[in-house]
Amino acid sequence: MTFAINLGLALLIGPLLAGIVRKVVRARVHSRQGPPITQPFYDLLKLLGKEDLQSVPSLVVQYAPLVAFASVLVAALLTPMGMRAPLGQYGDMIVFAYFVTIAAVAVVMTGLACASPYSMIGAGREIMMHLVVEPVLIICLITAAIKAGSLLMWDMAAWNYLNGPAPSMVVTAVVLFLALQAQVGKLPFDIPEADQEIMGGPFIELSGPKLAMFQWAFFARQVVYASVLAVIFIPWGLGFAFPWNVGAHLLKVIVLIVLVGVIDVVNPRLRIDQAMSYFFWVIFVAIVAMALALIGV
Amino acid sequence: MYDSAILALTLGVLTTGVIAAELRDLAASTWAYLVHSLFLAGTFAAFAIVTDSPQLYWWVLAAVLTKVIFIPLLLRWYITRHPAADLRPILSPRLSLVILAVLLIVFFKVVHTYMEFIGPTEAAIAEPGRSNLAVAFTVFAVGLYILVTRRDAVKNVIGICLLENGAHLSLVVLAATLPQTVLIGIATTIVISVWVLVYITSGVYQILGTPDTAKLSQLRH
Amino acid sequence: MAVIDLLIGALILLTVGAAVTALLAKWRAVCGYVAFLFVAVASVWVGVAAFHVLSTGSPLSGAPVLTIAPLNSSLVFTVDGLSAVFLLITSLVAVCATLFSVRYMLVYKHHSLIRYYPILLLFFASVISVVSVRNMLFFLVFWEFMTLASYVLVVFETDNPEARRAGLQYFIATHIASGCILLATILLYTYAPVKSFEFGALLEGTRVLMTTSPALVHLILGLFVIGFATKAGILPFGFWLPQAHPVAPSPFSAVLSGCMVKLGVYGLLVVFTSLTPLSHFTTVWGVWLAALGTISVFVASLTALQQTDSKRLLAFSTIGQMGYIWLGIGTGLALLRISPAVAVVALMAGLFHVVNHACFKSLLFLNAGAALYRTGTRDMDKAGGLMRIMPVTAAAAIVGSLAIAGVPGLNGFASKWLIFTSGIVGGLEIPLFVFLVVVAIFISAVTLAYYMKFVGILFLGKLHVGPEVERREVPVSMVVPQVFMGILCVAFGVLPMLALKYLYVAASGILPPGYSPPFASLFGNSALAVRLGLSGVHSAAWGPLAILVAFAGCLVLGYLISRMGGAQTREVPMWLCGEEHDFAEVRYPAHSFLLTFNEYFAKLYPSIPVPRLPRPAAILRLFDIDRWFYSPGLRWGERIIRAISATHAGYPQLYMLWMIVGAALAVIVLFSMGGGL
Repeated sequence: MTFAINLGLALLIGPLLAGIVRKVVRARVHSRQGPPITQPFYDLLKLLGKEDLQSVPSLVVQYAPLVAFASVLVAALLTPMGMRAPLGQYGDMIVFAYFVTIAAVAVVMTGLACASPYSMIGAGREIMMHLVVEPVLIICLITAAIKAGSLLMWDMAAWNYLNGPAPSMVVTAVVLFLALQAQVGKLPFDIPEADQEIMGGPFIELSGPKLAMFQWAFFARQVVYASVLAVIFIPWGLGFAFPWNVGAHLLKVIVLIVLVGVIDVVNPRLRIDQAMSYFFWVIFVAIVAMALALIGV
Repeated sequence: MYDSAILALTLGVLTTGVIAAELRDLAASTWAYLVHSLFLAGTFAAFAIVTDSPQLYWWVLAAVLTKVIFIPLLLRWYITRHPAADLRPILSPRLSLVILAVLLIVFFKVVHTYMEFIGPTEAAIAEPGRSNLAVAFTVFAVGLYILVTRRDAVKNVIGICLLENGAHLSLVVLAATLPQTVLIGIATTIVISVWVLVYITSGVYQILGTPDTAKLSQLRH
Repeated sequence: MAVIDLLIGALILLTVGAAVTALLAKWRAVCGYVAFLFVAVASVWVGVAAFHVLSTGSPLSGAPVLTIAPLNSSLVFTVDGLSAVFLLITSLVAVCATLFSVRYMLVYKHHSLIRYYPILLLFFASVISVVSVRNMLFFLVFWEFMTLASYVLVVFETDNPEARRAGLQYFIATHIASGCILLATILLYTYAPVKSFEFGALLEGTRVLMTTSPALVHLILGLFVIGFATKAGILPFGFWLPQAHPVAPSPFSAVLSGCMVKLGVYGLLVVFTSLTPLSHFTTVWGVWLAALGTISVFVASLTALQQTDSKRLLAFSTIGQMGYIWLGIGTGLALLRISPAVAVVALMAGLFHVVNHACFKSLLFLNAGAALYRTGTRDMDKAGGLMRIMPVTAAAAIVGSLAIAGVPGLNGFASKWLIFTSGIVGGLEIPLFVFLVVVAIFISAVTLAYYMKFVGILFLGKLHVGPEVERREVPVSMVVPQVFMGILCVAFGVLPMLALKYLYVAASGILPPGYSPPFASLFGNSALAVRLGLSGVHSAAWGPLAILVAFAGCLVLGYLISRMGGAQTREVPMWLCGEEHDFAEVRYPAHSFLLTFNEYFAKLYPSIPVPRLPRPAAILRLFDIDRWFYSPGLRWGERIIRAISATHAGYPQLYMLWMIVGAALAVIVLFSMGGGL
């Protein structure tokens, strides 16, 4: 049952949310109408039917999109979305962090395997962004783990729900929101893709179903990351009865993604070294929050 | 009276030994050695008369035969075939004299303080044995000194002989009752060694073209 | 025949094998196969003995082989749980490396193999002996054998000045380390109530010293730590490792990284569990070890990012991974008196990472060796895209890289996960560990980064090799060990409980009896999923099989969706904005890959307004013990030696002078010794 909920939220609501952001936020800011909110679905379907152009006959390029897709889905299955996660007893926060890492690895491997100079630059940037953003996620989750005394994500959420907002958890929530922007690859941090600079970066040689899989994986990834922030650090609505807890969760996710969208449309892109400086600051604040948690605040 | 005679003789031994060491002309050096050995035989004779022991007479005989006659002959054989001048020594004569004088004084002090350690025989503790012992040590030291500072091979041979003489002199005081066969054995050994040494020196000269022992440094490479 | 006799038999077999291969050295291929045969049989025997100990849980002991009565020591071969683990690792790595060597060493046409196979077999024999004795005297003897054998093998390419320099550095560093260990042992021996080198006797010595002179205990433990840290490659003592590993022949690099540096860990565990009673010393030193390990992880991994030489990158990576192991073991030791459950888990995590590292690091070195064999260069800027010609090697390399980076489903993740978990839960008691774990997790991502670089540049992408390179896979005898290790990586990753069961036997064996909580309470009852029960509740979980099944399911789902549209595939040339370029012109070289990150890290320290840390160069210089301690020491030693040798100038007079002086001194000394002559 929870399988369906998690997968549904990730796979189906993900593109829908992207569409909402595109129409409601971006188009409004640009003073235009914008496409219908189900446009992402149409795009995915179109891509699935297009020719698959291969410039490098490599197994890596053939399967990396599927790996990215599958790993994001597994991460979704590990995340409690309003209620216990279906695979929550089989994987804790470290497993979750590594699975989202696999998606990044898949992007990098694709970039490397394509061997186009643009894709290599994109792959390098993806790794560098990942290197500075992932610690933030880890530190925030560890902070929650310290407070909750357990590494299982549902335990963390439950603890936060029952024990109210601790100062360290509040700071951590803010920090994680700052990281969310880069995690979902939105401006000002969409450096690896950077359409205008390096023409899609790692994805330059992809088309058709491969591109569709990556895009769908990224839509789902948005939902997953937002869910982590929503369920653990903003525990409103966890105590509701089913299905209202899922609804509350969905609401939180929508709000978060809309906020992300707003920031996305009003900001230019940062350079990779600027982004890294920014994130070193974020890591520093996260460590401060963790220290606060360690001393019991 | 005998005491002063013995003392004079031993000093003569020492002086001629030093002269033999310092002289640059090898033939003259050999003559000096010969005289030195005569003094040595004289000392033995004096001790023989004083202590009235028959072995010491045999010693005199052995000394004369080997040291006065045989060894100088061997040295002469070598000198006639090879250049007769010693090469420049490593330390200058003046410095050598100073060092030897210092050594003499040191040995005198040692002998007069530590006699019980060195040789608690009657002959040794009493004069003239004691001073004789000091001189013997000095002669030994001269021999060593020659080996270390003189470069010509023949000079080194003379140095070895001086070494041996010093040892014999001390034997007179410390072990006067040594059977003569032992002494003859020792003397013969020395003679043979000198013979072999001269032979080797000859060979070295043939190979290296010089009797300079300081050049025997092929171990270096 | 007792099972322990298998071990002794293996040792004899290896020694005989060394002699036989020495005789056969001229016939290169035959020599290789014969060596492999000896090693294989010996490894099987050793493996059986080790497995027997791990499954029955009781140590094996043989009869004394040799006794030295005045020193109250006898050579008894004993295998306990910990030794069994290391024996298994050694036999695995030995078999794979020797099989790989058979064809690999044929490349060295001008070097005699007499310096390789016999020494290699003797090396394995000495490693097996090192972990099978419980007497410090024999431990040190076999340790020396091992060091000497490894030195000879490291400088195998005697015509390569880089190899000679690296070998010299290794020799000096490792002998200073042995010196430290020896000094510490002798200190303990002096204070032991029963004068013997047995571990038990030395333990009593430590116990006595703890009450009378605690500072001395710290000194002794410090000496031990320096000695074993040098061997394990922990910075700042392990500076020899990045020089020595690349220049050794590749199969031996695999053995060095896979087997020899682990003995530093073994020595450490022996010191802190068998030579030191459980006390506050263990706690203090545990924290220090963990911190030292984390520093190694941090510095070494960041340095590895910058490497373009494939084997040097792997060598730095080894230092980093050893840091992880020390982190785990340090956490375990520190928490032994505070929280036994977490401590046991942490120790097992460290041991598990030892096993896993042996698997994937030797695999990676064999991969690099295969690439070197085929292309003739270690420089990743010069050769790349080898997947085209070496698909199996490339696949194995991908498995190895993913394993070391800690991708879930492979063995690296299982042990790293345990280290992190025990570190975080342990951090509730000692907060420092949480920070160390954060650094370690960050570095895990860095590890991923440079392995992406390693695999990506070397194996993926378009082929970029010189024209003289043959376009085919390396020989079968070189592929089989890689595949075998790859399978092990996957097996331990998917079924970690299998390994954990046996590692529990090893860990509880070295702790006081009855100390460790029962296995089920720590790890749960399932054979397929690890459910850590620390602090009384289930606090962490990793069920590889379930997750991987889900992953596979999602893969299938993705595949079905992607096929849904019925898209056709078509080959096209690479898009370069519509221009035509020669591939070599637009190739993205290795050193550019993480350029910004590297540059960034160089500029990092001044730009963050935290307390001003000294610039990295100063820290690196401080860490470079070679530069400010060992090298000047060597230079001064040489000067002194030269001065002394001037006194033996070669001409006779001088020697005579020395003889006279010596005799005079002897006489004076004898006289002054009292009582006369």
